[in-house]
Amino acid sequence: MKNIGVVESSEKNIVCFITEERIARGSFVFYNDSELNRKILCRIKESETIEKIPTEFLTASFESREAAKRVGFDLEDIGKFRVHAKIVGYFDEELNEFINPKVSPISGTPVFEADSSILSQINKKKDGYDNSATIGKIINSDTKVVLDVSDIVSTHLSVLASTGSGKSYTIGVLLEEMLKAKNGASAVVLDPHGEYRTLADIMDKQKLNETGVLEDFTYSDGTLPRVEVFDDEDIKVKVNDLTFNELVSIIDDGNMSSKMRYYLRKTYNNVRGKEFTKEELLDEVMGLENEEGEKLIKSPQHSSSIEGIKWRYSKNILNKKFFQNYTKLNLDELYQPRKISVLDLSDIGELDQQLIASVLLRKTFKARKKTVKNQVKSNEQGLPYPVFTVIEEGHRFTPASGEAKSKNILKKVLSEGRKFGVGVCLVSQRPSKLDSDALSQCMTQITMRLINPVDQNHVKESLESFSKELVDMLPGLSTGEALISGSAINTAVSANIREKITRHGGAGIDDPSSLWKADLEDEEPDIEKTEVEEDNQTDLFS
Amino acid sequence: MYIGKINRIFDYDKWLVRAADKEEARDVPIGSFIRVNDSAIGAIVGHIQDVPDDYLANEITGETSKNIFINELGEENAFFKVLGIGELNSENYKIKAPPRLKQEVYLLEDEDIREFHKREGEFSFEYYSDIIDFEKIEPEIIVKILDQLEKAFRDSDETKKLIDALKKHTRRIK
Repeated sequence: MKNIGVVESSEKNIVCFITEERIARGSFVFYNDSELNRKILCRIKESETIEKIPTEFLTASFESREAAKRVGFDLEDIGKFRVHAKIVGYFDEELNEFINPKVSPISGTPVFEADSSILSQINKKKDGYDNSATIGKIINSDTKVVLDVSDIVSTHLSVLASTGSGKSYTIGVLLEEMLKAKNGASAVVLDPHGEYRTLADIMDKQKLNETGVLEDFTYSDGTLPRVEVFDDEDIKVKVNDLTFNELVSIIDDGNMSSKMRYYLRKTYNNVRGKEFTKEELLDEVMGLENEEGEKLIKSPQHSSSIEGIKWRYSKNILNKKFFQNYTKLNLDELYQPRKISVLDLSDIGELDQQLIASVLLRKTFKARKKTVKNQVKSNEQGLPYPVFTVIEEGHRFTPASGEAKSKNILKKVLSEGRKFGVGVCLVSQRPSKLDSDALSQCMTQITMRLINPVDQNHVKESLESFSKELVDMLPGLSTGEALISGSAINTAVSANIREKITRHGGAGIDDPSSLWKADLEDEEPDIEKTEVEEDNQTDLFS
Repeated sequence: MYIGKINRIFDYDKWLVRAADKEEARDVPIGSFIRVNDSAIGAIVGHIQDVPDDYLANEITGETSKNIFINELGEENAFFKVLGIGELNSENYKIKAPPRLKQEVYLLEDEDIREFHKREGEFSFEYYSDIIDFEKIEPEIIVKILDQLEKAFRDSDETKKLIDALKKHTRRIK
């Protein structure tokens, strides 16, 4: 135990101690409470110098410290810091959490650098155990950060960071951990940019062997995890699978009249419970009759409504290639233990992405709910294990303002999913554009560098566990560093995310100049061929 | 130059020197350095001048009387307030004991000023932080002391820069 300082004072859960060490913000120290006979963990908030060299001496003209010494300034105090640390508490093994001591340390109490024995209490799970995800190390420490996978899957996770801070990389690390033999998770990734295709590297036995992690990924039956990528060609939604509300939300451009909705509802009720193709549904609309048996399409009073349904339906469903009379979005194909399914949505429009998410989440939630309640009928699909869905660009699917086809079901899953083992990971680089209610349901947070104050404030206001102290740490995080807080860990901690095993699919372009220049070289004209021929015809310049 | 004698000791480092009769002694600027005999060193931090009460005569004319100042006698007192700062040939700027009453006081020459303000061959003004921390004198008086130091070290650019920085710092103190 390294004694690094002495308590000066304490007030309102903040301990103030004096030290000669330069201690990083976010790191941990502890002091011994002799009455409680406990080690009290504290997290560094900020530090300040006790004495400073006068401003007038801070010049390149002379050596500042030497000059200060010559006029009688005590340099010993100049090398000391007053550090403010927030009391986290002592670890209670029975409750498995940190308890605030509620009493202050007395002045003069020694302060020690937190070692691995106390730092490891930050984790709810032990490294390598079932339901654990080791995603990195505590900053300035060798102690690993191990998340509780059962907490993430049941109470949801948010991953928030500015562009380029490493959030996709971090999710990649988390998914690798979830695929390890200790977990064997079942997960789907909604991937609007095609960044997660490289997760398929996890099936490369040779690569795993070379990296020395083959054993970590080999299941008891000798198999490895699987990653399957579904492109837009593979993502098909059966029209028959849509609810009425989904049907309306797809074809309604905001101008659908009540009359149109009424006729569409009538049509839907006629075919409900039956197998029908998308063409048959339209035929059903066109075949609607009034009480006299006259087709509505021929009636001057009603034909415009029928026509209105027809062209909207044709535009938004009939002519869209991913609405089919069969589905390639079978749940039991997507969600399987020891498998990650990546839905690469990069060639699909944003509105259609929302629709896919809506259909997927609704079906998943329904299947899990019925399975847990033992209500799956013979002709229905159940899901006999918990599932995890990563939603990249989460603000597209549940925006703070405006509507999205996926918003309602996503919020429902976030609020009720924990009961049925449907876990969600919301990812966004613009948290301020993410619905606050949705964000507040993510009980574990991985927050990386966030520079925009609007985003920072939104996070602070949406998340109970996110204090101003944590918000202040965000701009100082480097790429690959994350603040981890919430239910999957015993106390908030700054971490260095570990290196990925699979390739990273979300990197930017490293050297655009070379690419531009290469393109320019291809277009340069061949100068030798464009020499001007000597004019033998005229003597203009003779 | 002889400038007077110790007239009163207020504290171990606060002395009063009665100025010699000579006019030039009375014109010694604030901030100047003095020595008492061959040991105690101080800085002039103030002047006091007064007329002794005894020299106010009483003029009686008719039925009235009033006090008048008889200046043709030329009697007046001049004193220097001195802050003790150390002792010659001492390793640190500490005063072991105050000077005695009636000890002679001399102005310190530039060479002696330079010698007193050197430690390990380098310029030193270590007692500055004591003066500031304990608010012994007003900042503007400290600046006057620094002016005198600057004069003594006029040939050393490096020392002058340091003194200049100190003056700026002192002026900032409220």
